[in-house]
Amino acid sequence: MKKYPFEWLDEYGLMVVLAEINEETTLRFLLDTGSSHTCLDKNALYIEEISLRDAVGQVEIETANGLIRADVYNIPSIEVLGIKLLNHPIQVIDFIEHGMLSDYSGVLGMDILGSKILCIHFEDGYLTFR
Amino acid sequence: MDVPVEIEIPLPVTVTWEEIMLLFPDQWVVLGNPVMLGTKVSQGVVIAHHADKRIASIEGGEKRQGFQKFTLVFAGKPKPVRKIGILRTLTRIA
Repeated sequence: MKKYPFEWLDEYGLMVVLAEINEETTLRFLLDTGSSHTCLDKNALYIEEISLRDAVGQVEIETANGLIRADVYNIPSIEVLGIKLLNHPIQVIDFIEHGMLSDYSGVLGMDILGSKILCIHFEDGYLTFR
Repeated sequence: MDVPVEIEIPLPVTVTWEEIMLLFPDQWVVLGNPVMLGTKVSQGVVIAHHADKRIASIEGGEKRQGFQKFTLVFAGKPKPVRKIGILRTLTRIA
């Protein structure tokens, strides 16, 4: 079974994994089972030159800091933990605008994590997803 | 009197993560054809860099020709993350 390494972010014990957008851009995602949906930082999307006029909708999401609005984009391809999703709707928010200044560019939520069996091997620093 | 010598770093050039940390401290760096080691960057070609993530990303998008893969990294200690209170036990009830 394939093992996917994760990184502990210091101090807060948050876990970071890698995801690849459009088979090109590798970004750091926070693994968050407390998040219903996966979201991406708008600022990182400029590398992919995704037109920010192509949003397919807008949603209101509840965060620990209150309600915020997010645009929804059908990202052509997102590959993470061995699964590849095509035209998956991803919520896109401006992390900087909302005070998220850490060094990750996305949050991996339960819309993706909930589709399979996730095992986190904390001591050995890897996880499996099948 | 010694005249300070400005060293211009020719881009693109492949640099290691340690070099990125030294050359672009506290900046967002867009790398082309990065080599990843686990979840971390081991080396890559610097395409763009800036203290502002948005500017680095936009410049990276403009200069992406000639590369197949990209990544965006922060060369420094990240700013403190906002603690997410939802799953934190604030007071334990006996």
